[in-house]
Amino acid sequence: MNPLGPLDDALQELGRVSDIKAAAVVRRDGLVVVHTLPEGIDPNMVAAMLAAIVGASEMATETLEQGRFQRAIIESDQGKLLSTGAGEQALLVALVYSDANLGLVLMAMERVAQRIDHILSKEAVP
Amino acid sequence: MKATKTRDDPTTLKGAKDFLNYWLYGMLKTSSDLGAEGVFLRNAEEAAVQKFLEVGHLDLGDVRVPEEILEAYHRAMEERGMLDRTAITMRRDGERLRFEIGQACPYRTVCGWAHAEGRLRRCFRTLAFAEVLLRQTGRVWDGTLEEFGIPCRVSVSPSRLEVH
Repeated sequence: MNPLGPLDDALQELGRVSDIKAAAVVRRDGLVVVHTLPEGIDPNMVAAMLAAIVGASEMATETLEQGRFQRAIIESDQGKLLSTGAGEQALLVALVYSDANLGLVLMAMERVAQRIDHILSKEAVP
Repeated sequence: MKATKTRDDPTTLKGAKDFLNYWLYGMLKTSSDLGAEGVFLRNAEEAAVQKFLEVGHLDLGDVRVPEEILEAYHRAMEERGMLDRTAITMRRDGERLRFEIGQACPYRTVCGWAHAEGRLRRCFRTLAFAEVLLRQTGRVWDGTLEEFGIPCRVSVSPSRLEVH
């Protein structure tokens, strides 16, 4: 079964959180799988940047012996960009409003990331 | 007095391959140390293949059969002295294409260094295969390094995580 349908559903779940402007599931090699990014933005370029950010963040966490990497948060004037792992193959990314309730957003992201990991693990080819 | 060509002289094909291996080693080690090896190498391969096609080294026309695409790619590389097609076997296994690659692979030196350092996780050859296949078939392909050695055993297959 193609996992894209369930992944789309998972992303829709995240879209119901009103503080989230857009979200994406991204391969760890930087290709976008599914996304709700605004038109006019190159999703593949954004996906590649985010994969690099998460990869470098994980390496920094490991190098500094800070335990397991959880998420990268980038704060800017008009919003926050949150990225976290969603299993071994994928990342989950959310663009949220600058005044978002981060606690609620992070809870939703954690739940959806686990759902994505479950979908991809279930689909894994032996 | 005529200059003597040294082992690493890049004006010889052997010298060019040696320098290719040094550069790839630099890219591999740096991207690996920064934790971004997968994304960096895939994007670098995308840009390299795009330029290779733009310059006109390979015209695949409307070929859509994966084996035919890679045969044409191999021919183009061989014409430029970068590949010995007799060193590669290709077999279809369902949707997966399996390869055995012998001694003559131009990337063998860098892969040997990376293997010795425990940082060899990808096959440069399959990264190129995946990019050429993506351009011709419109599908995302994943390369797998199954075994490094003589021969190397590698494969490419359509990704389950397609671009939407």
